[in-house]
Amino acid sequence: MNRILPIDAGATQSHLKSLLALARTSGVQVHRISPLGLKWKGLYLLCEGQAAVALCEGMTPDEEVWVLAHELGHHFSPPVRGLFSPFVINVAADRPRHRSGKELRRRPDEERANNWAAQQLISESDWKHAEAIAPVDLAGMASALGLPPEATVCWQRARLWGHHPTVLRAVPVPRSIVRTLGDACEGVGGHQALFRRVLSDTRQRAPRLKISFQDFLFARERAHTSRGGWLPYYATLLVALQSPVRAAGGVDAFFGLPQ
Amino acid sequence: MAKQSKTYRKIKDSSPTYERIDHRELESALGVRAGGAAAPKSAIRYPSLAVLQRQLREELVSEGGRPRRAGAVVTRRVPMTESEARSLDSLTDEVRQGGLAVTTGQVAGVLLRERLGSAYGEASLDSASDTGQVISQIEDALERILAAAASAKEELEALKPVAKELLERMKAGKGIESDPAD
Repeated sequence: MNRILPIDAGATQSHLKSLLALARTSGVQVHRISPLGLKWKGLYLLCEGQAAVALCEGMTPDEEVWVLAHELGHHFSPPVRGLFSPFVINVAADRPRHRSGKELRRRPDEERANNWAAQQLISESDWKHAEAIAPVDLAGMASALGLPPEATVCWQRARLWGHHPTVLRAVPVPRSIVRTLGDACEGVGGHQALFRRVLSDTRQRAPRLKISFQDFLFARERAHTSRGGWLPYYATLLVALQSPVRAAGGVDAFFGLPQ
Repeated sequence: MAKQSKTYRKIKDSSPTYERIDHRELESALGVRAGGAAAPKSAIRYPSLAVLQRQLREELVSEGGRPRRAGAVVTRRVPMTESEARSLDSLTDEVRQGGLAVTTGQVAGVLLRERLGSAYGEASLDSASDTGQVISQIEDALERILAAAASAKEELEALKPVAKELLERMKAGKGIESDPAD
């Protein structure tokens, strides 16, 4: 895996400026507000035709950019604008789950706002540029883009998920990696099924990992979103793939996808 | 052999017929005066009672048991105020007096569809060729409305102080989006 890359502060500042300019031209007010003793990051309000976004003070610049983009996503990608009229006030908020502190499970509205935000902030060429820097690491890609990892996770889900799912590549690996990943195959579940697929061609003298494009995307996301026991397995898998992907000239070239 | 059905005794209405009261007598008795042209009762409703009855008559299907609206397969609980509930009950009673055995839910369903149709800018349901499809779209929209309302309520409850602060700042003026330094 890549070592943690420093966040591109210039890119972050540029994102913030363009989002604020978009808010200004669209008549959306943006205010920084102190946390007021509550756990929250952003709030979008549409009241009597006037829209505004509140950003919680104290966030890092890249986090603030992402939250602002997400809240603007509520403004620009509502399910149906007319739906909100009966309720006078429409509100959407980014706040952690009450007990665990984790992010709330995304509702469709939140997914839509995230998709809008990711695609507003990251162009196709930006993505290619970041992927060339950190091909198997979404957090590294996000740093290169001046954004938090959530942005790259959302972009990948919105733009790549479900494309070319059956494209398969085989990568020769040392027996030690096969042994490490073998522990992840025991049991029933999505993680185990993925590692069983990856290790389905390792009984030969020269073991190989079989990785589909969809499983690669899944592993790249899980390496960021998983906590606890599964993280080392995904990290091991991605480390094993890093050199072959770089040697092939990037992710698209490795999987033979149209560039 | 011809069937001989029972012949019932005729009933004669012998209750007294009251004299009509002229509106001028009423005005003078109450010390008030008429405030302009009176609108016909049906005109102030949306949709009119006649249209509502016609739509319900067209949509209700009977397959044994209580008639149901064709295509109405999703049931949702809709919170409403006491006055809204009273109005809905009253309207349902009026529809029933027209000879239709309808429920408040069925009346509410048609009203909701009419309101949603105008919110979406869709053509009137009278012109819709596929009623079943339209009803299905409406039910989907209703589901989204209810989810949005529930979501808004939850978020407002949790972040009421933040929402209040933001509303105050919105009224006060522009935010950082207008600051050239940012």
